[in-house]
Amino acid sequence: MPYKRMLLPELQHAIATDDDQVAYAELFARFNPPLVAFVHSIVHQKEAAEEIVSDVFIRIWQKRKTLDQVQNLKMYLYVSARNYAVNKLRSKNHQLSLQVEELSVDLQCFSENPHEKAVIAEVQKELHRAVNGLPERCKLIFKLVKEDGLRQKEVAELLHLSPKTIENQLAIALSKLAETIRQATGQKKENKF
Amino acid sequence: MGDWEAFLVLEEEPIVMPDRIWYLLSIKLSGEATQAELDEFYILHEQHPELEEAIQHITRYWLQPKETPTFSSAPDWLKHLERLKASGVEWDEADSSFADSDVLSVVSVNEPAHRIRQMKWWMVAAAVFIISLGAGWLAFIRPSAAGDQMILAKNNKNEFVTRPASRSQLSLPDGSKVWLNASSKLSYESGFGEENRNVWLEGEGFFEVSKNKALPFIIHTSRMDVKVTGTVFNVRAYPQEATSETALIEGSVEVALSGEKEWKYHLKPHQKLVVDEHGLIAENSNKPQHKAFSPAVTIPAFTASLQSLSKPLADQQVVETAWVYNLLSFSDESFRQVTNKMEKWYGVTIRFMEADMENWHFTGSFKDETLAEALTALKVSTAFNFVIQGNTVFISKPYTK
Repeated sequence: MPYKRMLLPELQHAIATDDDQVAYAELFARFNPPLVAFVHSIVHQKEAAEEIVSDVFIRIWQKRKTLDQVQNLKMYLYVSARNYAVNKLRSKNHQLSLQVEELSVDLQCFSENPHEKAVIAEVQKELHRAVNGLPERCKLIFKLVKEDGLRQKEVAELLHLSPKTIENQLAIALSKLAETIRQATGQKKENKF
Repeated sequence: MGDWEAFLVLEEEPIVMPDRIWYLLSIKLSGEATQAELDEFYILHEQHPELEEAIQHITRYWLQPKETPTFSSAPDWLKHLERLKASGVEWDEADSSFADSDVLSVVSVNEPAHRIRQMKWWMVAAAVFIISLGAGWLAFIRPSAAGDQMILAKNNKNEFVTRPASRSQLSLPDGSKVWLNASSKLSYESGFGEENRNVWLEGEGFFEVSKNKALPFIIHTSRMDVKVTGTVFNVRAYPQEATSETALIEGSVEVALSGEKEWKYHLKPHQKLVVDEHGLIAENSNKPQHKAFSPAVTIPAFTASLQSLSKPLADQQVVETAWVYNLLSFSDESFRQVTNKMEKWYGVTIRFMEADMENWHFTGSFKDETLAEALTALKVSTAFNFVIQGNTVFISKPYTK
């Protein structure tokens, strides 16, 4: 059968109306990795992050009959994951709200494959290093927009930050990257002369 | 301004107010920019040529495929499924869409044995075949009902069908041999070998045509017809694939595109003709020898190009015909082309979670590997995750931990 990639609304509908387990598995395969990474940045613990995201998906299957009522399933997943994570922290540490300053985001954009590593330009490596050197909040916002493909408005809602902050943080991230490039290429030129 | 105000300001956002161009670039890359914002970006871009290099690097960085060699998602899914079942929520383990497995699982290691058994059966079949040829008629009879290949005779038409993940060798009444690849169909009418040598092919076949100048051997496919007098060549014409091709190993063949009988392409050994169904005409490499295509004449219009055969993987072996030797191979082919071949080879459906992965390129060759082993080997050159669920394989990018 010719391959056809299911769009998110199609997956959502198949789960809601047909109890489609394969669609559910596909939804899991698509969103489990970024959600675990996101929750990990809040709870700092891999096993806990996996369990939280697993709970989110269990809830999705339990409530599948009403899944069609969800307007934005992707955002729904992220917000649920955030709430579960915050609840987990709250019950553990009696903390009252999500402290974005305490986030730890590990951005790893490159394969460790030696062949690919060699192919990646030096400047791109510098950039990767620079992104990992960004302040945690800045890095998380950058990651949610660039890697996870969330809209800026959604990131603002997810992190309880103002849209203006998201805007500034993205601009800061990119201008720092630009500065890194300027230094990297500038050095190269200095070395030449 | 009192001290406390200064303190407050420090607690707020960093006071750096970066150039607007970086914000505009970020929304351009994330696809959220309005037309007005794009225009503003292009104007700023022109005004600041010194930023050109940085913009290019950041763009490349942003758009590059994201991948990391973290754990595969298959164990994650199994772990999740355990928790899901433990939670008491209803889950149909016998869901037929997950094929025959009661638990979603990675394909087990008994698969190669199955394939080897098939191969052995073919060898027997081939022997049976040669004997029956003595009777002057084709008799290719399956030893059991649940077989890899079916022969149907209806309306004076003989039809051979191969199942997914199986390949068969057949001999035709005129002594020609055909290796039929997976999910393919070959048929001919009565009178074959006496009045004519016409066959119809859907899928892929490797042909060794016996010599007979008086009766040309013609293979009809949906996009092209191939006429030969005696030669060895491969025709790939799966209806659901974007292109069809004829690759010549020895001898000579003529190819006519469907709907335009007078345009004949003469192939030389180690050339292949690739045809697709799009309206635009694009000729690559060597020009056809006889007549140039002109667009918009044929209906349906085709694109055709003449190419050299892919580089041999080993002596006497060409990628196009490797399947005949029970070898699944590909040379600098896109992930989509590779998975097309794997789908037929292993009889599975392969889905990409992220569409841009389809353009990654791979070179490789498999013989006795299971599906899981083949995918694991591919992962070594470019990292990706896969989950095998029944007859469906999901391929996704490795994720950022």
